[in-house]
Amino acid sequence: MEISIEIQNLTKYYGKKQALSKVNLTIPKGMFGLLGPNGAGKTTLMKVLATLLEKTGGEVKICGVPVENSRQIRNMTGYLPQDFSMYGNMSAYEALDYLAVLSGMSRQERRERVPQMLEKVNLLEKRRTKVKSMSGGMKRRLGIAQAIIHDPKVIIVDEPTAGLDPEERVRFRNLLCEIAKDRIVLLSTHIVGDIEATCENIAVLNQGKICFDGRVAELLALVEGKVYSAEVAAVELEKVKEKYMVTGILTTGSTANVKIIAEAPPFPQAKPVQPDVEDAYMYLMHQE
Amino acid sequence: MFGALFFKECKQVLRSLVYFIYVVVFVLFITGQMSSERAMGLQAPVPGQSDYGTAVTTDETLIMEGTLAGLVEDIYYNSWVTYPLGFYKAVMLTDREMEQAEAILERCTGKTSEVLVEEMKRHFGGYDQSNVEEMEAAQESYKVSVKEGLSYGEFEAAMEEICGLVGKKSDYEKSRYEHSIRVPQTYEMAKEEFDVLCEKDHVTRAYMRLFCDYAGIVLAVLPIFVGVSRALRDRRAKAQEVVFSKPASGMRIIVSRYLANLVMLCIPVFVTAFLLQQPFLYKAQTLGIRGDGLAFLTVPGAWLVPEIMVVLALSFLITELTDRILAVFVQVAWAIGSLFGADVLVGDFGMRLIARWNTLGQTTLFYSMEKGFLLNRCYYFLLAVVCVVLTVIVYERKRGGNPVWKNTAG
Repeated sequence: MEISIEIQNLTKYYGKKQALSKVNLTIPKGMFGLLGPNGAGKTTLMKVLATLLEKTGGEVKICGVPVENSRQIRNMTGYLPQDFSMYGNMSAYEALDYLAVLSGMSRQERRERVPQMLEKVNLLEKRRTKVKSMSGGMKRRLGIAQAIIHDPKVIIVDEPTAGLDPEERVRFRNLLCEIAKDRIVLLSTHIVGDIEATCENIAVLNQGKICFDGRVAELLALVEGKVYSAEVAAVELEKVKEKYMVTGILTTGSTANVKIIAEAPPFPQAKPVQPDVEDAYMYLMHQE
Repeated sequence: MFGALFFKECKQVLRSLVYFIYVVVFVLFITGQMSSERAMGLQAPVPGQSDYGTAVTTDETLIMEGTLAGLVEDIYYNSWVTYPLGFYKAVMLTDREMEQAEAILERCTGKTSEVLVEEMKRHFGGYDQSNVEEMEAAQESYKVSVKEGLSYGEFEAAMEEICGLVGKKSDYEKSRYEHSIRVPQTYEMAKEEFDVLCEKDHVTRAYMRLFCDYAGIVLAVLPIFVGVSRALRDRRAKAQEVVFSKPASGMRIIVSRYLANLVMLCIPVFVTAFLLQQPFLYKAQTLGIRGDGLAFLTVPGAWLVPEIMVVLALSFLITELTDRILAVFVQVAWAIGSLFGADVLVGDFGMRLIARWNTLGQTTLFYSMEKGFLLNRCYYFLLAVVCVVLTVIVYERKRGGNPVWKNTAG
């Protein structure tokens, strides 16, 4: 069975409000980033894939299984919601063991897998720590452990790094990359840095529509030769921001170094620079 | 998997503060209520005793005489009492209504109210008004003769008319007057009742019925909090989505939670019943009877378990449906209605949630009503099963992002 997610003409309405509009996407094995601003429909898409929301129209297949077969889909997916937590009075071990039972694992399997997973997410030493005493980062790590406990083919991770400190964020991203070796890890985020550091394939969702689907290199190619760096007087900053798409400002005394996206050099002194994913994302959003 | 989930749920219940409070309140309440019931007081009647207690009479003539005596007093003072929703309410009739009440009384007795009032005054005048015991004796012996040829059916119709004048839940309701006219017992009556208590109830069963009477009051309310707390825990702990996303079926999740809560709620009930039963088991031995050592399981099992089941199941259902603590208000209102809606404290099971039997004994009466009692308990057992099935359906709908009540997934 090929590990992939096939989405065709996926539509989702909340009452009269359209959250997803004819989304077409093919997600192959490995890390896949779903980028988009808040309210773009990322969580809705994730929930449809995790069988927590019924679609209004279209077709969704995970590893060839239609998403309507919720039982089968739940067996092959692991889901880490945006706001994951567990019962506060449970320890890390108990919480993971409880969720492993809900994943249909036998006692023997749980005895082997629960400590393994805790070790994998670096929580084995903290296995007796109560959920209510855990930091945000620890909870996310516990969340990823529960998502992979039953060895699913697809892991759906919704905004996992929001609210984490930089060190926790890097550690968490590395963990996701590790577990994406032989499965799909679908990472939804509005933090461009997460995608840049982890994903080869990405899709950008805006207002319920896919506005980009491809490799990171292809996204970068969109702004190739359109990103410039220039030094301007600090007092001129407002004017520059009004006229151009500014993706970075570094102020030093009375001058400021600005990063601008433009079709042609904005000022004679502007120098073309190497674009990054954030530039490409901003360009894409601006185009939309 | 079901077993593992069940035991994990039991552990969760055991650790919750709400459960701890449930155990404490239940034990304090039941031991407080039962402390006045002493096994030592249970004695076989012996000939020559000054008092053998009283018993509710089923003699239609005595019922009519006693009820009409009360009617004369109420007409004389124009002071009537009703208990709507179980609460005391004083009622005063208008002149026209009084005339109607007097006409009904005359129809039943063949005498005018003036004559009857005179007779009443003469009767009470013969007793020392300052002596409580004398007054009680006067009250007990005061009867009004029924008009010759008055059938019980005509009497019932007349009392219905009185109810129409004074309002519902007065002493003139059939269910009330048929269970409230007491007559002094003779040695033979007391002996027969005691023998039945020993032979049929083996002492402990009768005691357990009294236990169930008190326990049934708190168990109509306390399990609500445990049920609501469990049903809201996923949402409060932000664990709802992750639990929803797991392969375990809604049936398995809900039923394991329900059964775990049910078992944990029943444990303190059975343990308390077992402990409180011991003096009566010993007493049975001293009376030369083999007490029913399993009465602490069988009687509360049939009496209280269906009640706990339905209260818990309904709290699960309402909470899953609304994601609010609405069940607490709905079910407390139901419990109060059931408690205060009962006309008598012994029997009158009907379809009431709280089955009352506030007496130690009256075994013959209980077994004459046993069928109605069992029907009542079967009804609540089935209702609980239906509520659990509905909870599973609601849970599965919520899980797929289709809540019945409102959108909780988005």
